[in-house]
Amino acid sequence: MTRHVVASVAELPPGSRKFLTIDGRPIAVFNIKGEYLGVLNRCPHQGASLCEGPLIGLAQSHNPGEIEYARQGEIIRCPWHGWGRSR
Amino acid sequence: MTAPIAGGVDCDVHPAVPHLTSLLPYLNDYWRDQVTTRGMTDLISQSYPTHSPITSRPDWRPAQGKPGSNPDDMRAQALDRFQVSHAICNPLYGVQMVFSEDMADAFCRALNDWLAKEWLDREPRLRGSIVVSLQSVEKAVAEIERCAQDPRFVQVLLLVMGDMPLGRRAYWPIYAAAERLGLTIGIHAGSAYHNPPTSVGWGSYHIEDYVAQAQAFQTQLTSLIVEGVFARHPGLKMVMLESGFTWLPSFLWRLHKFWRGLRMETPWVDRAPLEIVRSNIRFSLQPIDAPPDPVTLNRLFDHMQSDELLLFSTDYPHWQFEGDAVLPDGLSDDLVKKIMIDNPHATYPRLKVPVAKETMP
Amino acid sequence: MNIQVRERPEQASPVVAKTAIADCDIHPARATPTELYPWLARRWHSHLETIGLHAYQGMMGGPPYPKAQPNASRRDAYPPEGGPQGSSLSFMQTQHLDPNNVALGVLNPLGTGQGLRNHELATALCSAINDWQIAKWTSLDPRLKASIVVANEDGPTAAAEIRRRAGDKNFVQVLLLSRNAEPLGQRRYWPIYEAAEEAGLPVGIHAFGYGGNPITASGWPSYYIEEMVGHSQCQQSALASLVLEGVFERFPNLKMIMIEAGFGWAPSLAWRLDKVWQRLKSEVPHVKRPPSEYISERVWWTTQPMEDPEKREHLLELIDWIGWDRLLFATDYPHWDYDDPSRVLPAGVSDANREGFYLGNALKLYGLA
Repeated sequence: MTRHVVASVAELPPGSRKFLTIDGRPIAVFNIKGEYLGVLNRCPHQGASLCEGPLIGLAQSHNPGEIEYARQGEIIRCPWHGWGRSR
Repeated sequence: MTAPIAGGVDCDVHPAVPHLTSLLPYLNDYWRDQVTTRGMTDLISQSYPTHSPITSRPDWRPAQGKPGSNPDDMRAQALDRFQVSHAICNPLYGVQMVFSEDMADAFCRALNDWLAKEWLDREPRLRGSIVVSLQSVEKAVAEIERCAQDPRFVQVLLLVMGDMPLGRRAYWPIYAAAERLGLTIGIHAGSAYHNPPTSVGWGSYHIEDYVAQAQAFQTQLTSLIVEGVFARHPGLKMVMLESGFTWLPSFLWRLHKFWRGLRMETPWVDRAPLEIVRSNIRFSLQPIDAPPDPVTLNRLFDHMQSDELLLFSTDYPHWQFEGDAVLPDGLSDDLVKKIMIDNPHATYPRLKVPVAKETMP
Repeated sequence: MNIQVRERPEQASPVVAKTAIADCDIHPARATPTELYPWLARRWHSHLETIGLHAYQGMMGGPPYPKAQPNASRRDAYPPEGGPQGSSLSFMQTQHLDPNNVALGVLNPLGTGQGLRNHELATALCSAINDWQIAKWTSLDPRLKASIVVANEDGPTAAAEIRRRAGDKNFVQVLLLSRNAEPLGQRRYWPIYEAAEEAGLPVGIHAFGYGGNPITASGWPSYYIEEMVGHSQCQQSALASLVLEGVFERFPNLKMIMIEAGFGWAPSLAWRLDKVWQRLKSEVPHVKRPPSEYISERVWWTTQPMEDPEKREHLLELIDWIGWDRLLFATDYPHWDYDDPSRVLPAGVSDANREGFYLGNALKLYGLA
């Protein structure tokens, strides 16, 4: 496995992201609540630049009208059709 | 022509109220006087003008009186002719158009009593729908509970074009009552005319209103699904009556595509729309808005991806087919049995409840 | 650091798609609220800054059903120089027109003067939008063609605008929206059709608009998804009105395009119209032929949002029923429910059908073949 130096810790605070290209593949690196994650920047649906979407949470409901909103900031929402991708 | 088989259930017949005076015996003194002193004559909806070609097949139109107003005619022309074991009465009388909730309720109660006495009591094959008006949900629930005591009522009847989309939570006590009492919800073509009868305003023509019923069923289905009615009431069955169904596959593809991207707005929709339709929604057979080629219709059945969705109906006395050609060409024997017998019985559990001839409480 | 990092992703490398396509639904946007001022009388400047638009819906700004993404657009479509998505020609070229090999792009501006209660303002804004389309878009990129936007509720004035622009090669169609004060077949809109037919231009009916009517026949729904799915039903009602009011009979050369409401609903609507017409034609003697005949001769559909059934062969069957020559490819750029041209059509389509779908049908319809 090849190692790539992406950024210094100060350059990637929690909630931020950076875009890079490794071996021709578009990648985004996120800091999700202190954890660093690399994601291929291509949505499996229609190939959109997935990682440009907002970071949201997971909305669930067991009763119409009542919404439990958890994991805020851990789901990337594709900027095209809104498909969600979680860590 | 595919021959129908005996023992089916006709899920959509329309006994007609001859005149508003027919309901007078079933109104209390106050409402009886209101009707007579204020000169109210009849509650005929524009959705079905009495003499419109769609309202009656020519060979079913009586010399006098409204089509569908004579039980002997219905026996001969629909029940005996198609050899059904049961037929479900969906009275189309314009009670929903009235704005006063008290008046609407009085007329609905009278209509339901009239149906029980003058149709269900006289013909053991008949079952009924409880007509309610949605001006007052509380009153509608009370009427459902009252009529449900008579096991010959198997369904609650609503119109597809009302005051609000039917998925809205304000209506949920009606669905709760129906589920609790083992009643199906029937949504029938027709408008209360409290909103323009198309998605883009008031059309000019009767034919336009009739075509628009299909679009209204589509938007209602969207509402019922995305508002989460079936998440709250998974056991509830709803039947789209006189809706057409050939629009269903492409409608579901579109709804499914948007649901995938917009789930965050309605996170209680816990299953794909197609699954919800398969488990909770049914469609009466007539009218079949069929392609000219029967092969195409069979392809469409494949697109629907379920053989449990259709329920046999004649839509008597509306003019939807000629002669005995109530079933489309080229149906397999299996599918005929499903459409005529199995699917209706699975949808209307109350059909199995034994009934003694009894009057309404 | 041995990797180059960026705040924003690099745009996809400009590999040009092999197949040239037509995109029959592109939405150019204004970069600033005052961008139209050069083409608007001074009186309207202060009007817009005080009273505002005054539409057939209550919000001063923004739609009553909030969108899925800001400006209903892809988040990756913000131009680097600023401004909302779709407001920069150079960025549209870089992100969309060049890499997707768009040989013909039809502009359908939204948020114009259509659907406004002040019909004078509507007329002024529409005319300004038409001038703006030429100045900022079509005169600078010959691949792009404009739509004549008209004050939809004022038939005679709308017709005058069409006649003014007729013959101008910048414009390939007249643009209306599907939701108006009345269904589109009704006679108040006939002057628009007359002028369009005279000019030899098709009329595009794009989803949306406000006419003050609830968007279902049973009142107003709760959610944005209902509005989005509901464009199918609105378009069906609009087309039914056009057929049943005899618009295709009265204007025998008029062509129409249903834009951004899908096309899956077309066969079943045609079958239903035919069946009911057989029964009730005495009411509408001006409809001289079965409705499906008018539809198959005069109506086209843009493809976006493309139907997406689980079994892709069902989609191909559906298109067979409509006719491969009736579909016009569109992406809806820069909106969020964008269809990527390389992804939407399944395998198993003949070369001839594929070519027509992506380009040939549009060139022929718009007289650019």
